[in-house]
Amino acid sequence: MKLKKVLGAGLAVAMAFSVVACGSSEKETGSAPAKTAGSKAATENTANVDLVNKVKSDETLVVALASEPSSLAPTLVGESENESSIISGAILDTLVSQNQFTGVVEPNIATKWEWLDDYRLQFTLRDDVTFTDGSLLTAEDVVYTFETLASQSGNNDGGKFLDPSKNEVVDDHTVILGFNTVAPDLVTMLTWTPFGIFSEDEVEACGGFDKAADSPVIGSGKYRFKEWVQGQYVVLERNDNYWNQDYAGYFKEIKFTFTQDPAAREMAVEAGDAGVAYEIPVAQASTYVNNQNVKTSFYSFGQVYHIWMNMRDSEPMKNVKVREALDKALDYDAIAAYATGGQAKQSLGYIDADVPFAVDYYTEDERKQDVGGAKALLEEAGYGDGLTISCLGTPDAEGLYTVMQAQLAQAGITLEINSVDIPTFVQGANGGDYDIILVGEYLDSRNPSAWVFFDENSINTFCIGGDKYTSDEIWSAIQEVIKAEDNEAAKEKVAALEEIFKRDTLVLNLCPELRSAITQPDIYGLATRERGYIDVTSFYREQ
Amino acid sequence: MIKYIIKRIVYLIPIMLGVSAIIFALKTFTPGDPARIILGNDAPQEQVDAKREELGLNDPVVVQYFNYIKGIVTKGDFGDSYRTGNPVLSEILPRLKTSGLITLGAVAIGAVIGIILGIVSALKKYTWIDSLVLVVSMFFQSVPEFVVGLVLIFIFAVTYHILPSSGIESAKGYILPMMCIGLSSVASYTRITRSSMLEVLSEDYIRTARAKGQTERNITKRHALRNAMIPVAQSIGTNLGNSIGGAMVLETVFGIPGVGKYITDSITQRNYPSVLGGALIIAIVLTVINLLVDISFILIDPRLKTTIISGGKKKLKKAA
Amino acid sequence: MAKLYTPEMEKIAKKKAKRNKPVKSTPAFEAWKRFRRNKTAIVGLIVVGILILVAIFANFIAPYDYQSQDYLAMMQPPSSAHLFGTDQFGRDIFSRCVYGARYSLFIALFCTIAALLSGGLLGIIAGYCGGVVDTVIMRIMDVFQSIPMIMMAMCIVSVLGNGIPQLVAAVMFASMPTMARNNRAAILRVRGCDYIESSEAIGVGQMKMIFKHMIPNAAGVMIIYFVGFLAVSIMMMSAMSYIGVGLAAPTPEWGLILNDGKAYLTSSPYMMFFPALMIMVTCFAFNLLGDGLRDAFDPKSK
Repeated sequence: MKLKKVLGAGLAVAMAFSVVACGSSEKETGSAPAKTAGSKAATENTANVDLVNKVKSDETLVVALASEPSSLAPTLVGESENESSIISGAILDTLVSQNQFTGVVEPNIATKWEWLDDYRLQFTLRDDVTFTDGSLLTAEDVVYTFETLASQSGNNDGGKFLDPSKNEVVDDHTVILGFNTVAPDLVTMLTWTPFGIFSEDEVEACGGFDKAADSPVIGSGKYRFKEWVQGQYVVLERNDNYWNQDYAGYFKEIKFTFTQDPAAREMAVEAGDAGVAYEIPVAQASTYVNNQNVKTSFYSFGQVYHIWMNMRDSEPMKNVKVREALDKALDYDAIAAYATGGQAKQSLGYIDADVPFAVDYYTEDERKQDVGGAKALLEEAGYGDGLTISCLGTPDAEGLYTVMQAQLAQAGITLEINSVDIPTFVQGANGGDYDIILVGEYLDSRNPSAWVFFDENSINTFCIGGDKYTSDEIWSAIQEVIKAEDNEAAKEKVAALEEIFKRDTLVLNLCPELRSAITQPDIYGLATRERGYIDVTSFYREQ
Repeated sequence: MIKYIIKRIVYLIPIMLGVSAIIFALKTFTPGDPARIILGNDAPQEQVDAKREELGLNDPVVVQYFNYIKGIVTKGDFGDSYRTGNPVLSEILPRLKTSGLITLGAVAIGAVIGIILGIVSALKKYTWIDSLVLVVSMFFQSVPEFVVGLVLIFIFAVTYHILPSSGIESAKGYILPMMCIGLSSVASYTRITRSSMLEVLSEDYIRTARAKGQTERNITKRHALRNAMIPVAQSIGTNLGNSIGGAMVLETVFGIPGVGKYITDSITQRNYPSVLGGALIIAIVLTVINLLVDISFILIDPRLKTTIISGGKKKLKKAA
Repeated sequence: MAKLYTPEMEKIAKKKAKRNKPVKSTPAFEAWKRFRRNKTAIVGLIVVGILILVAIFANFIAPYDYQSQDYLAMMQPPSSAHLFGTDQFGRDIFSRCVYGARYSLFIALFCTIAALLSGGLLGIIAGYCGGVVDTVIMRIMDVFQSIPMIMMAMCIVSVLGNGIPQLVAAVMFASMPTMARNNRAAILRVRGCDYIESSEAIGVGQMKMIFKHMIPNAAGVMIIYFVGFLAVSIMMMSAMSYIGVGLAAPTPEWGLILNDGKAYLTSSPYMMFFPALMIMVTCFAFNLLGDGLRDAFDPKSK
């Protein structure tokens, strides 16, 4: 469940929040091996440019996504998928937003906010925000939204930290929201798409939660839902009543299409059928850098790829020597070189190095590949004749598996890959049927929703489990991190957490996760929110 | 005649039962506990046990199979998708039209090109034209369809921007996938047409026609072609299955919302009810279509009564 | 004036004349004689022969290990060091294709043998026994045939997981009905022949009859379909790899290499071109060979 939660929270809500994390870690194409005019332009437009846009066109932007989400307003039905976060992120607007480049939480629907105590946050709302049905957004709607989030949380983690009993409507434009966890960074959670505001009237007009999830004529975002032809496309149209006309959408309509094959997505852009192709594997994307027909941009996903060991009471992973052998058999430099297209180095800590409270807890020296050492450890562990390890992961890490397979093979370890889509992955990871799990977690802020990966239940069902590794130790270490007053204080706590991971080789840190998107050469405004979901509302075409 | 048709329809029943038995057998092999998957990993064990009871997973296999058939016959219940929770049938029906259209187009393209090439090579047999036709048709049979698909996208969509690279929002989107599947089946039509033409051309009545002084053109058109088309027409039914198989792969290449893409997506999602339910629905549809094709051919020409029912016995008598 | 005496008729007449000659010749020898004259089929045979040699001696031919990665030589176009270039992991595509011959050909062979042993045997039994046995077997085959081949294979692999045994089982079940049907037809044709009826009349034992008379005489037809199925199996494997239900990486099966390369179609087309070429050449050769065998063993169908 942890995984699901993390992923869920990440994708579902993320309206404006992700700004901070992404902004600070935006990778310039400049550091890519090959630099071209096209890709450089992309960089100039994605990094540190205020995306103010008052120009509007009648054009339709086609965005090629990898897969069709199962719902468009995932929070309503307690689900979470990357694709639905991207789409609902354009429909829903959040109380606060995160500046994509500075990471600072900024006013959005709420003009100001203050903590009344550790658990209650008071917001002052704008008075000119309207919903799809033309009605004004009021404090009542905010309370309704947060009650819904808490009751429908399901696989979606954000709702878990809300305490609706503390919610309070002070007046039409002042509202108090309650939480059940102490965390100074909680307000960043509210910038995520799943915390977008909608009204009860809208949901009822749609016909209840399930129907609203399929045709979400809800929210007050820059775009509104127009049509979903299942199996084919989703169309949104610009919301001309959006309160902030300085940042209105450039494209009249945004159409999302779904193509699983990344090569086909790229070809759709080159053929002029799509303006943007989302999530092209980095290794593949680096081959388009010199292609003048498309523009390739790389950005950080704010995560580090990790290998989590299944710590249930079963061979071979319960044997610490096997776990150490895995560590020694891997060549982290080669992994990083492949997975980031040579743009980033291996990760020396659990958290992405760009995050302000990250700690480099390992040294490159102690992580050097040592095939002989790995073999010796396996011999001691009784696996001198080699062993087979099953690995669960998602397709975005595809090439990584091949790299690891070859490295582990040198030490006599056969790596068996099960690469499945995210909902299936979440299920498999929680089932604990695999020896290791390859996953990246989004830990860019210290809001608890980002860390639910490790919450009490999740740790047990996800992978650590077993007799020795009770959730208590790790969960309390995490709570320390979340509660810490500031980033400096958090660093110490992170180090304590890293020590637990390192002590018994529970997890291997591979490298930062980079992503890539391909756009037509004259499309600008690539921006990401939360963990690196593209913000489709900010694209524009250069005249 | 009517008796034969009724016989053919009745004969469908054991076939359908057999197909459903295969699918049901595969279903029992699917990894994971369906009740657990439906309820999620957080659900308490008691709830899972209750769900197992509700789904009838604790019944003996025979009872489960019986209930499975009962569900299909009475309620059209082919299972519910793990992903959306919707009935598989309702998810597949709208997609059948798309896939059907592509398959029909592909069969038409394959048959027309194949028959023309077959006639040409039969008339020009043992010449370089004959060999060329053989090589060209076999080329398309020897390249995986998805490679042809990607290359065609590269040429027509990426390089020349004539046709869309994916999707079927405009009718143009159908052209490339139909061509890919059609081209790969050209070889088999060519071969059947050619050998059937050659056989017919050596029949006595053709010789008679020649003796009567009719032109070669007339002989080909009026006599040979009509009779030579019989086995070709019959092979269309068999080819339908292969073309649907081709569509399954190519729908993924071209991002077409058909049954094939539904099933391949479901495979990556480990959505077993959708995979197996989809397979069963396709098998049923295909069997019925084949039956209709057969019956319509018989209505057109009673000589075409296929050997499916009586063939074995007749031959046996002859042999005994 | 219509031609009363066409070259074909001349040939037929010659053949008839030959057949009437009291020369001692077996059907296989006759077939070989016909086969030899077929130039395209000979080309097919030579290519298949070369491929088999490549598969057997892959470790001597391949300059690199098919799995070894080189981060200093990623995605290099074909050169003298890497004949077919390198892939995104710096693996030598030529070596992978060479080893791929071993995997693809042998897996295809396993699949086809499995199909022949299951479907073929059932077909022979059905054809020989006739009656109820025939009806039951062939009705079961009808059932299997109702599910399109590739879909059957995909269902099996998706449920049982991907590995060589599952793949072989999948292709076997999928191709069993066609195999059974063809073999049954071949046996029935032989059964109808006079010499079988006469051996039956003189009371030749059943087993002896099957193995001594029927199988050798039906063998020609079986060989044709055997060769044809090798091509079908290779194509099916590559399609399954594309959908993601084929063999698991890093097996250098051609379909998988092709699938690896497809992401780079626009930027590095050679990564897809060479494995596609291997599949094409192989299937082409098998198809030509199969066609030639058909003409040789089954001249009536020409």
